[in-house]
Amino acid sequence: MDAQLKKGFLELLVLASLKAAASYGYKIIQDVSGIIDISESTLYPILKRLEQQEYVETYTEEYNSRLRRYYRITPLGKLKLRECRADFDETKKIYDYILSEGGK
Amino acid sequence: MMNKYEFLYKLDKALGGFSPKEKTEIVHYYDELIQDALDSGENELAFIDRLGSVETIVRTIKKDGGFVTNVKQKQNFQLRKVFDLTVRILGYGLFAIVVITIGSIAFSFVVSGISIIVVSIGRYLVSYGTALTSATLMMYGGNLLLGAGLTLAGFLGFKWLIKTARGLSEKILEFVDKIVKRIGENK
Repeated sequence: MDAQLKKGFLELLVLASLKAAASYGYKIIQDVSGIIDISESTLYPILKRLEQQEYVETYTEEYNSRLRRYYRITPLGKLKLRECRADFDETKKIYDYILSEGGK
Repeated sequence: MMNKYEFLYKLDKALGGFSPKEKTEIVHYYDELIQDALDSGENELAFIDRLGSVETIVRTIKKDGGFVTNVKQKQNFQLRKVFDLTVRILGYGLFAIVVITIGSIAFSFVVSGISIIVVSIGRYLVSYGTALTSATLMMYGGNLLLGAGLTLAGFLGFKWLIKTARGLSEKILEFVDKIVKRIGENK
């Protein structure tokens, strides 16, 4: 997949994986890797970006007597996901056109 | 191949250009990741090998750093927040109206159903002993059925409301989003 497209999708996928419940690094990769190829090292910048855009917030919780960082979706993040629905129709139109015979 | 401590040590050293806070954060992230992988039964050396070289990791983070600031400048954050608040107030307002309307209809069904049952039983008890015509008995029976039906309908209404309320709020928010967006585009 095109690198730029993938970048955008990865961000949305990670955000979507937090829709139901807060999660942590390792589990997010497990959840998302079934849909898109994602490596452990690409996730960190994505989470950082989501946090800086205020789409997610973080908190730490003790697990197995160590601290684990959890990521939780914010109302702004939920809004971002809802915007996908509107984007979807538009994107579909674009792809329909691209994939049609010479735009006919 | 490196073990966890070698890897984290190397990572820490390679993060020279980062602030102490960022450095700790990144090292913690990888420490937690490796620990979680080990806890789910992965092999330490193989997992760390999969993470790729420390240099590539640092390069990926650095490359993204510039991108983050760009994104933040491009989008008007305050405006988006105000927009989000408007959508949420409108959306939840609409949601409250829908829930209250359906809820009160269901509630009135239950109340009237129960009161019809109580009244018809009461009237039957009051007239107990006196000879009742079959028409009167049929009326009481009909009332009981009507009351039971109304109560049931009310309860089903409540059940439906509770079941769909969550999805409904999301749908209404999506709907309001679309409208607000459309108004914004037409300007």
